[in-house]
Amino acid sequence: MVLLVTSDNEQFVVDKDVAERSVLIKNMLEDVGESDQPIPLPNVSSSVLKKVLEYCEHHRGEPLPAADADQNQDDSRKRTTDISEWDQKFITVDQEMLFEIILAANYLDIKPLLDVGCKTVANMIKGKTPEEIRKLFNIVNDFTPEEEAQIKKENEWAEDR
Amino acid sequence: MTTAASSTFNMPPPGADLATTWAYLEEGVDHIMTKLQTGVSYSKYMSLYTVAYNYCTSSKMHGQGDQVGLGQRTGANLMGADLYNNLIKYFVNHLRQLREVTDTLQDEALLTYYAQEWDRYTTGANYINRLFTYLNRHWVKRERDEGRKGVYPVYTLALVQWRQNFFTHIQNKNQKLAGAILRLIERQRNGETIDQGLVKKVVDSLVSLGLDESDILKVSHEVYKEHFEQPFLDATEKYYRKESETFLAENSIPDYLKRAEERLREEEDRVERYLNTNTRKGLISKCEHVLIREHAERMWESFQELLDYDKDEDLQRMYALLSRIPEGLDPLRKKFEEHVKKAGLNAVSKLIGQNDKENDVDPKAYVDALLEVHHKNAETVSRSFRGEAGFVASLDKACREFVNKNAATGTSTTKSPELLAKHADALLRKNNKMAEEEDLEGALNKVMVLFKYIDDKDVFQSFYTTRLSKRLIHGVSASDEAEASMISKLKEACGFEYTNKLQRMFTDMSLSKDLTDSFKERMQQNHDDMDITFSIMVLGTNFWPLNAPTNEFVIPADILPTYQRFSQYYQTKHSGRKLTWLWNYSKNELRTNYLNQKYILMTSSWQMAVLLQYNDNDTLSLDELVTATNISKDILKQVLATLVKAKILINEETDQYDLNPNYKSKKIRINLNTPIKAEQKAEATDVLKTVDEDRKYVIQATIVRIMKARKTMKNQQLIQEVIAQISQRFSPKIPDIKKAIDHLLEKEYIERVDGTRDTFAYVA
Amino acid sequence: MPGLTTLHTIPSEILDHTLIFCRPQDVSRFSQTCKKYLDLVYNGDQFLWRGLFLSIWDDPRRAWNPRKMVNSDPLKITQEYNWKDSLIYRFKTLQVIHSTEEDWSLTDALETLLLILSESLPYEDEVGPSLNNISYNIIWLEKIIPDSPFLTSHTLDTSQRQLRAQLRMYLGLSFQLDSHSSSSSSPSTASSPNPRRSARLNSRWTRTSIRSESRCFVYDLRNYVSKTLWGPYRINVEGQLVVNWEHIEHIANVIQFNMKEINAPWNLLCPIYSLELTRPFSAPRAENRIEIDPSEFVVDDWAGIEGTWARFISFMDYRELFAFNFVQFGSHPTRQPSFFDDHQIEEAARLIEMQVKIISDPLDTSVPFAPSIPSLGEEDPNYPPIRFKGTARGTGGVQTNNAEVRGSVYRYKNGLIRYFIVTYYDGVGQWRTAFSAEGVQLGGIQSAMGIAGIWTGADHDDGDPAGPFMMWKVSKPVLGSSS
Repeated sequence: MVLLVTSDNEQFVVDKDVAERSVLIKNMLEDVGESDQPIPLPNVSSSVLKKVLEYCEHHRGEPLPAADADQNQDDSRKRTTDISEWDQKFITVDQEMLFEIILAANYLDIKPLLDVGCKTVANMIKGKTPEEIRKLFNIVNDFTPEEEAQIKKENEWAEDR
Repeated sequence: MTTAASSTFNMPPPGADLATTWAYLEEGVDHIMTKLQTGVSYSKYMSLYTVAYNYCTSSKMHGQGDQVGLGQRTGANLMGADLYNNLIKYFVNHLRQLREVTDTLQDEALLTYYAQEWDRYTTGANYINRLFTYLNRHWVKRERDEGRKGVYPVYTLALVQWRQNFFTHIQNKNQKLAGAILRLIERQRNGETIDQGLVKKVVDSLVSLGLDESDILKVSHEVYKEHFEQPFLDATEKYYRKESETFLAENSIPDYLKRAEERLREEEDRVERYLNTNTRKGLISKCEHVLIREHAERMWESFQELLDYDKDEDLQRMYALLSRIPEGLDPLRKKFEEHVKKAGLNAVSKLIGQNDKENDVDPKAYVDALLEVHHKNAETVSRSFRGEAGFVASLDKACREFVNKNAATGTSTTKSPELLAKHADALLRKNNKMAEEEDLEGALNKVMVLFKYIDDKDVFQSFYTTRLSKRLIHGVSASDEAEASMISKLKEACGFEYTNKLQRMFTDMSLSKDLTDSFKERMQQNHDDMDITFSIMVLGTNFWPLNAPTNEFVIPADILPTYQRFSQYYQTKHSGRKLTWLWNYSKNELRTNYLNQKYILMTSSWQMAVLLQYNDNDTLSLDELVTATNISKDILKQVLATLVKAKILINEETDQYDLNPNYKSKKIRINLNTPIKAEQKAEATDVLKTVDEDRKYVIQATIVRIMKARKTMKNQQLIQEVIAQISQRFSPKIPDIKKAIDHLLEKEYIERVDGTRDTFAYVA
Repeated sequence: MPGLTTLHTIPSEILDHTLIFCRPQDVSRFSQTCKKYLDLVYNGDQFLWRGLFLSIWDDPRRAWNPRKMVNSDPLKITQEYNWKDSLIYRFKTLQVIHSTEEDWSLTDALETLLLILSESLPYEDEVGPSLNNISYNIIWLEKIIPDSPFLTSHTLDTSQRQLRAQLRMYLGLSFQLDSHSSSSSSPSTASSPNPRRSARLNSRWTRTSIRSESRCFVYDLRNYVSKTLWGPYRINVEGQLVVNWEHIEHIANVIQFNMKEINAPWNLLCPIYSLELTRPFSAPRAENRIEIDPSEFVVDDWAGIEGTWARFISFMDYRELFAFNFVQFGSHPTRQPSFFDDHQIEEAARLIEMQVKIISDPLDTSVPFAPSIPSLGEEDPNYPPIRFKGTARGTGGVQTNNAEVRGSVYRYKNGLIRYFIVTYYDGVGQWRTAFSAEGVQLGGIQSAMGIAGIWTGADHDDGDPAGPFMMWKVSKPVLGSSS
């Protein structure tokens, strides 16, 4: 069992193999050695950690991705659609929580969870106009109309006829 | 346990600037690099990771749109570079401090310091590498993807810095580090005990410092090779060259062999204990060159002496050492061949010397002498030279030479096969003293050992056939099994054709036995008056080396009915076959009724014919006997001489032969049938004549076969082909081949191609 | 509260990671939302664009001839691949070929399609076909080409028609139109997945008319003259000798139609055409590779010559061939497609199995080198000519087709792989009948599609016949190895 402490000082006692879905924690335990010290996670709040642990719990025991998975060129072929049913349900959260999960997964180095988050965002973008995307993510349009027209022209390559 | 994580160790807040961030990180990095033994808490570890992470991801804090113009790189790049450059600065400073100490250190102290610092440094760097995972995963990876040189993951960066700022600094001072290792190794070679673990650690570090710029996962041995391996090999060469020269100046070759063997073993150990395995090949071949190759001449020179005195262990050692260098064994093989040949020739000369009658070599003594030389040297090959093929070939070559040509054979190539065949005959006869079957089998195997070396195997074949036929006719063969065993050995060595005749002879023997039995049965039915015991052998003319009698012979009346009945019986059974009666090979037994004691006389046909004349007469003149028997006077005289000598007849007046009425003998069965001298002498020449005839035929047949296949051929080519095909059986002489070609030209089997002198064509 | 966690809070490297999961169209629209994201998409390093590119197409660094990566102009070969520009160029190509308007850049677009085809992932040398060995270029091309209007457009210029003929043939379009016959004759119709394809083309082009038109071209003896080497070549506007891909397409049509009507051992049959067959090294490998004696002078078999080939040749009855070319029937002029329709002319077809071995002895002059043609371009010194010889035997017990085969293969710097083959029937020396043939490699090097070309009498006398042939590698001999 390991003891995790969140930024808002909440403590979570979890099984080691659940905590070790986080490559960060796994590496640290390997380097420093095991002890009953609490592990502070200054970048993760309790509400997010709870969610992240739910994911880790569900996926415990699955093989971790290889350290050099980033090198794998076929990785990028896995298109947005393949999110498993459970993950899909899991990631159905409000936008803020979604980005919080992405940040936590990035921080804790949980690659599969990071991918689930990023794919979800990608799916949200898919098929939308720039204006729709702005609205979705609360992006302020800082182009002048002339700039906007120019940029639209430069992006014609991507439009269907 | 309610410490707020963010306040632990006064972590800078997210979005802190580089100065604040790096100040915090540097303190942590330094702690890990220099005081790791005091431990790192989870909080410390997490806060360091978090600060580095926060800084790397802090691009967002610059806000949307703020100072982001087109054409700039993304924030992550700048952030990563900040940390990366500071890490470099830290490593450089850290290593500069470390290296000052080395200026005053030498040899073991230097190595100890180096190894200890290496351990500490690499352990620390591994930690740092993990703490900066995020930097490695994003900034470093993307820089490398974009093809930027000189950017490495943090651990590799640490090694690169070690090499540039620490290792190179020491090495630049006259290769101080490599020198220290080499001196330590030299001390070990001199017999001192050294700290091998220490050497191993330093050597391993050199391997780790090698770096393949394009693929950091690949190991490159470039640093190890340049800074250690090459100097090490040079030092090794120098060391052993000096040592071996000094050693040889004071010691014998056998002692040197021992020393070289030891040294090679030590160096193998050295690679295993503390060098990189890739060094093995270079090191060992260097040692082999200096320790063996450079002194090979002297080893070759002392080889003969070791052979002469049967220095088995030394020979083994010399073999093992010289087999390690290319062409190291060739001179030994040559010398060994000479040695064996000489031994063989000496053995035979010694034998001849004892007998001093050159033509009368005892086959057994001869064969034993050859075998002993072979046996002894075959042992040497298998024991000292591990049965190595090259030495086996040398042994075979030497044996072939002395077996075929030695003091006993003179220039004759037929003497050796003759003696060997005679020896085999002696072994296979009833009267030989080999009681046990196994002994006999062993002796026959030994015959085969020499047989393998015989050049003229056809000569052996002829003598063997002649001798076998005698054993069979006279019923003196020791055992059918031994005969069969020998034939199967010959068959194995030379093929079916070689033993075909021999096997047929056995078949004839067995058929004859059946024939005799059925004839007797038949006679008992028809003529119960037969009072002669009769047995017959019917032998195929082509398979037996037998000659019909040359003289006339009157078949005595006493056996004439039996003779006629059998001839008739045989004709009814096999009409059309011609029987030739070989009286000269027949044996007879006569019972005496004219003396008080009844004797049984074992005689030849001629003797019988003479003695039967005395059923009706007590005294006869030579002429009367000639008339009665029709045997020529010359032979008859010899026959009579035997009978007179045996005292059956008395010859008191010239050409007058009387029956001895007072004949007495201790034995009841008296063998009068001893071979006549002339016959014995004739054997060898007869056999050789047959061999010559056979050879002519074989050569001609071979030429025809070759020409049939090739249609046309040049003279020289044809002769070579003939030799190649026949040499299994005997070594044909070139004049014989030429004679055969002439003969075939004459008979128009082949012809000269028009307009050429030396090209022949096959005439279909 | 320092603020809500939003998209803006996400570090740029994670945004890159996210965008790689998007389609390029979506990334383009995302870049138009604000300056920061415009900058992120267009002014970063190649990470994002490489990711987007590789999510659609094969990695050009793994293409067979990676030196030719950047574009078809060999002068512009560079080590660096511009992922962004290449992606955008390919998307523009997609727009061009689907546009119904006449577009001046169609030539470029068609060239780009062929370039993408040539960059398709080769079959691994040792591995052979496998599921992991999918080529994304092929999948992409199969998806986008079949409903493109250029395939049947009547307004193309010469060079566009050449490029189109090549694509159309590789896709196996023209002779697979009749869905009825192809679905009954072959189980692999499933590999031509687009039902729209046939429907659309069928309206303009019927099966019989294609067949007659192609026969009409292939058996027109005026096409076989010395300046085009009696082969499937043409002279372009610069006066150079180049492959006439329209000619090749007609050859493929004639052969493929005839193929459907012949009974042959199944494993000698020509595979049903699709882009997959053009992939480098997709040809079947010999089951028993010939052991090479290391002491011999060894020639690198870069073209994959050694082994067993199926060769399909067609010809017209000599009288009919002459009637077609030189006799006017009533009001019909000569050399009209209607000749075939009206007279129900059927050609003769032969399927032949060839066993071929490389000649490694430089002194063996029994094999003729092909006439050297400077105008075909410079020979590629990296691929020295290969000479081969072997035997041919007819299937179906037709002994008359047994022959001796000799030939040579060349590769030119422009990528063309040319076969020159001489076949000797009956007899020896000057008395035997000899045919020579010129063929070109279809698709990539050692492709399963094989070779297409034209045979004629070896002496090219006036009135010599001519006809089409195709040949393709098969995995093992069917008729038994020749002795």
